[in-house]
Order: sequence, then C-alpha cells, then structure tokens
Amino acid sequence: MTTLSPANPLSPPSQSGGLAWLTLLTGPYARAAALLCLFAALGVVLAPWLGEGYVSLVFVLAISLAGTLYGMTPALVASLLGAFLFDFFISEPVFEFSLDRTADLAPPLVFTLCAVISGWLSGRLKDEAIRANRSNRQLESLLDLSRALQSANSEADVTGILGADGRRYSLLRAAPQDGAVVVDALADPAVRSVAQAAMTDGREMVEKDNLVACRLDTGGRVLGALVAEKGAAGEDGLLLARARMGALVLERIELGERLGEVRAKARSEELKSALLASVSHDLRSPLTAISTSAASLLEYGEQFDSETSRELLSGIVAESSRLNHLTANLLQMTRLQAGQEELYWTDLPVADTLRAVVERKRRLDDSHPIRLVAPDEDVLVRADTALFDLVITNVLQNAARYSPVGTPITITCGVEGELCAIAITDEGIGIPPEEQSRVFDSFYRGERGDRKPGGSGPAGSGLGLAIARGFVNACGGAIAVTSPVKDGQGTTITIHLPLTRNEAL
Amino acid sequence: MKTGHILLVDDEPAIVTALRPALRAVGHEVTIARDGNTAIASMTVNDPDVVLLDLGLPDMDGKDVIRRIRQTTGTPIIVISARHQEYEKIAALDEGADDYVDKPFVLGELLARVRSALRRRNHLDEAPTGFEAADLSIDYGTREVKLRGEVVKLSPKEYNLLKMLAESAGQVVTQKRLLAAGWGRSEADPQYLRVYVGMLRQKLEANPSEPQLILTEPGVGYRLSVNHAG
Repeated sequence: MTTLSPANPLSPPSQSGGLAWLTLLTGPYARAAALLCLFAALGVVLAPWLGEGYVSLVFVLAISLAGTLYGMTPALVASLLGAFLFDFFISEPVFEFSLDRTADLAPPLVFTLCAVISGWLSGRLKDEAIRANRSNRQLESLLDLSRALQSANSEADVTGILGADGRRYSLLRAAPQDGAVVVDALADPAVRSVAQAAMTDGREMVEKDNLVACRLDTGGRVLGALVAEKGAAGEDGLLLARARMGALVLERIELGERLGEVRAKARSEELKSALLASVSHDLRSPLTAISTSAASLLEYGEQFDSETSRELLSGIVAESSRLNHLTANLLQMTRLQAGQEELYWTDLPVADTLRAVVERKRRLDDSHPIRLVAPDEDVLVRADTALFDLVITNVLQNAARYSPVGTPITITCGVEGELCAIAITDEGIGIPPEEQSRVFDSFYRGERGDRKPGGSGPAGSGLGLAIARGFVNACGGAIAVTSPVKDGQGTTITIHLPLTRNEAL
Repeated sequence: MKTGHILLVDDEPAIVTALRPALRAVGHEVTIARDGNTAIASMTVNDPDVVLLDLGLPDMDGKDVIRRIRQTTGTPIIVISARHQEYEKIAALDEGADDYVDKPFVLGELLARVRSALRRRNHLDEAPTGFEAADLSIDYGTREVKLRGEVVKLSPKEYNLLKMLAESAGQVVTQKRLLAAGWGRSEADPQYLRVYVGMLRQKLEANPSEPQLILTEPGVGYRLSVNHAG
C-alpha cells in the first residue's frame, strides 16, 4: 500500500540530482507559484478598475487557494512571492520596488501579513486533512494486516504477510536459540547485530545504517526482533505497529505449539503407565511358569515320570519364547513412546515385507493356512521396519488365537488413493460391537473365553493391537476393526498407511 | 492332614502345567478350572479344601468368583495376583479371600501358604482353644500368651490383635480386620495399628527392628509367620 502521494509536502522526495529539480518544478511549490502568477496577472489586468485594495484581495485569494491545495509551506512561499509581485506590479509606483515612503510601506506590509496568515491557516487545514487521510489509510492497512495474520501458522507466514507491503523482512527469535535467524529475506550481514540491539536495548525500535529493527514483545517478554530496510520518514511508526501485531501472532503460534507439546506429553505419560501395568502383568505370568516348572523339577524331579518332566521342560522353553516375544513388544512400545526420533524411518516395500512375515509365521505355527494377496508391483510406505514387522505379526497372532484351528487367515494389500491398505481377515468368532472400541487399548484382551474352541495356546499380552495403533498413528495412518465379516463370523483389521511420495518408483 | 484337594483356577495353561505336578508331588489332589463359572461349579461338585485363584479370568472378575464362593462356603481361598496393586489385593481379601501370593511366586512359599490354608480348613469345624507354633503359644481360654515358655504381659488391645493374627496364622490379615478387632471399627486410623504392632513386636520379637514373627504386608496388612526360626 502507499500511504503518501508524491505531491505530499510532508515527505519531501528523497531523490537527488535532476530528478529532484524536476519534482520541484512539477511539485507543490511550483504549482503554488504558478497559481499565484496566474492570479497576479489577473490582478494586474483588473487593477485599473478595482484599485489597489481589491486587487490585494485577489492575491490573498490565490494564496488561500495554494494553501488549500498544496499545504502550508507552499502557501507561505507563495505569500512571500505574492508580497514581492504585489509591490512590483500593483502598488504605486508600478514596476519598481518602492519602499522609501512610509506611506508606501503600509499596504504591502498589511498585505504580506494577510497573505502569510491566510496561507498559514489554509495550508494547515490541508496538512491536517492529509494527515488524517494518511492515518486512516494506515489504520485500514493495519486492519487488513491483522486479518491476514489470523491465518499465519509459522514465522515464515508472518514475514510473508508483513512483506505484502513490498518491504522485505528478516525475523529473529529470542527462543529457543537466542538470536536465531528464522526468516532472512534481507540477507544483510548487519541484520543480526541490529536485531540483537533491538532485543537487548531498552528501545522498542533501533535504527542502524539502512536497517531498522523492532523488538517483538508481548507484555514484556521478548519474542524476537523484526528487521526491515529503513523506509520513508513517517513509515517507521507504522512499521512498529505492524511489528507489534506480528509479535502477538508469534506468541499465538508459540502458545499453540506449546499446547501441542503438552498434549503429546500427556498422551505419552498415559501410554507409559499402561505399559508399566502390562509389564507387571505380562512378564510375571511366563516368569511364574518358568520358575515354578524349574523349582518343581529341582524339588520333586525324582517323583515325576518322564512325561511330566518333559512337559515341564517344554513349558519352560515355550514360556521363554513367549517372554522373548513380549520383550520385543515392550521394546518396540518403548521406542514408539520415545517419539519419532527413536524410530528408523525407511521406505518400506509393503508386499515384500508382508511375504517375509507370513513365511516366518507359517514356519512357526501351521495351525491356520495364511493366504497373502498382494500386487506384483510393490508399494512403498514410510515406516519403521521392525515395528511394521511386529505389528503384522501381532495382528496375525491375534487372528490365529481367536479363530478355530484350520480356518484360513487372509492378508490383502493394495493402494487406495494416497494410502496403502492392508487388511487381515480371520474366520474366528469375531469381536462384539461393544468391545470393538477397546481392542486397541493397552492390556485389553477379549472378553469371550470361548474364542478359540479347543485352543490351548498361551493368552495374548494385550499389547499387540495397542502397539499396532501406536505405530499406525506415528505413521500418520489409521487402523480399524470390522466384525463380523460375514455370516456373523470373522474379524478384519484394516491398516491404512500413507504411501511414500515417490514418483520414481 | 497336610494334604488335600486343591482347586486351581487359572486361564494360563502354562501356569497350570507348571504348578500341577508339584502340587501332586507333595500329595495334593488337583482339580483345574480355566474360568470363573467352571470354578464355581467345581466348588459343589468337587468340594475342594483350598482354592488357588488367579484374579485375571476370561469370563468374570476374580473378585466376583470369591463373592460367589463365599455365599456357600468358607473354603480357604488363596489369590494369585500378577498385578501388584495393593487396592486389588485388599479388595480380594475384603471379598473373603484368605491370602494372596504375588506372581512370580516362589514354589516353596506357595506350598507353605497352601499348608497354612489346609490347617485352617481342618480347624474350621472345631473352635480352636489356642495357638501353638514354634516359640509362641496362646491360650484363648485364659488369654495367656507364652514366648519360649515365659508368660508375656499384653494389654487387651495387643492381645486382641495377636489373637486375630494367630487365628489366621500364616495368612495375611488386612488392616481393616485388625482395626475392627482392636478398636471395634474398621475405619480407625491405621496409625494406631502401626503403634500397637510396634509394641507387640517389642514384646515378642527377638529383634523388633527385624521382625520374624509379625510380618508387614506393605499396604495390605500383617501376617503372623508360622515358619519363623526365632
């Protein structure tokens, strides 16, 4: 936006050389002078009829007009010029400067006084109007700015919106790293020092060479500094106002970020306590079985027949492997909770990985035939391989645990828009609707004891689907359960993961 | 009399497989129930002497199982708990369980608890006239307490507390029950209880700072040890 017209006498053009002269010739002074000359000529023409007194009023009219049109200073200049012209052309003797008689002195003196006062008054009026107009436009621009800033979500947004006025801005933040340049549109090495001065100096605005820095603070807390190139006189006040507005928005952004952090922390605390609860429960059961079996063998081993001893020993082996799987789950859960930086994100080929997981599952447990339907052309998702593997293993294990031996489990994998969809379907007894919302909670296990007719495998940890949900959330995907699938039987767990944006695939 | 019929209620096949041989080896008869309903049914069918109950059952809350069993019989119930939460143990004991062991338990300790429970079971029908274990003897008729043959003077409150502990010797007694026995109301300040247990230990323990006889079950209550060598 432009606040001032080129003709504004309050901000003298800063150009230099020939251009300045040109401006001066076409500027308010030249126009005021031209106006005056026009009226002076009129006065000279009319002088024989009107007489000296009335002609002087014509001059005063010209000066008042000049003041109204061009402001106070041109009017004052015009009034002096008018006094000179009046003395030369109008007052007797004409065509000479005659101030030698005391009587001659009075008219031009009175006239000059009238002209100056009239020029001053009319000019001041004009100046006030210009000023009011300008502050009005500034207010409007600030209003527009505040509206635009509502949508800002980052420092770059803020400087971008501020920069809509044609100026370039650099933004420095006081926290978390002192004096860190966040946005640097100026790319001037002096930015940092002038910003530092604004942040630490008591003044809200610091000028240095061609730069001006405004301290960004809200209620005494310094958020950073906004640096711009020095603008025309009078614009810096506006800059300060814009900077204050920017500071408010920055604070809002900062508070929003902090709120997000607090929420994330609360969520992770919740997960942690759930994890602890499951550790205590799930580690103890296999440990108890192992320790009891071993103690029994030690204490009463001689009384046992070989079958009992074998049963106890194989129990120790099975429970150890269960403990192992459990610790893997716990480890991955901890990694998930530690946050993104603990995860190894790679572009993971989904179909290929599914094939490997299914192969391993088939080797370890042949109680359920597993069918994998995957596209020939693999799809990539951004994920942590160990976690992905564990999640699929967990879901497969659940499917096997809660469906009769011999019933098939089907895994499908495909692309749905921007997402990779993985669905694992069993033909088990299903999950009642009232339980479906809870299956993803840590430590939750199905209520129905009869899920697995004739089954005798170890109970689950109640962690599997909780990890699945944690993993899928970390990937920015979604996980859902559908049950029954058909004929009142079966469960489908569907996992949607965002595809890697990789056109080169 | 040290052997009996044990009902083991646990949905973990691994625990059942591990525990059954040892229980049989020491002479117990073992019946298995995988869920609460089977356990309750088994109470009438098998009439076990002791119930070993895991609180985490697939079909119902373990505490409900205790309540249902208690409606018909006073058979000792020992809770096996994997969740080390005091409030859950207390709730189970309040429902009428006699004792609890934490997973993972030491086999020898579990067998000792079963022995204690069986002893109590055998005395259920006859009102005991006294308590006799290791160095300590209590005559409920004369209210006389002897430690290594020497008479120990106890205040009425101390005696009531000791008797309460002795009646469930070897098993945990909740603060609530002890407060009810000593002060007549279970919601009295547990601080009183700590003070009186402290005084009992002064009179009965060889080294009151390392009690061997009256053991603390943190957050739950106290247990009178019947195995102490003291």
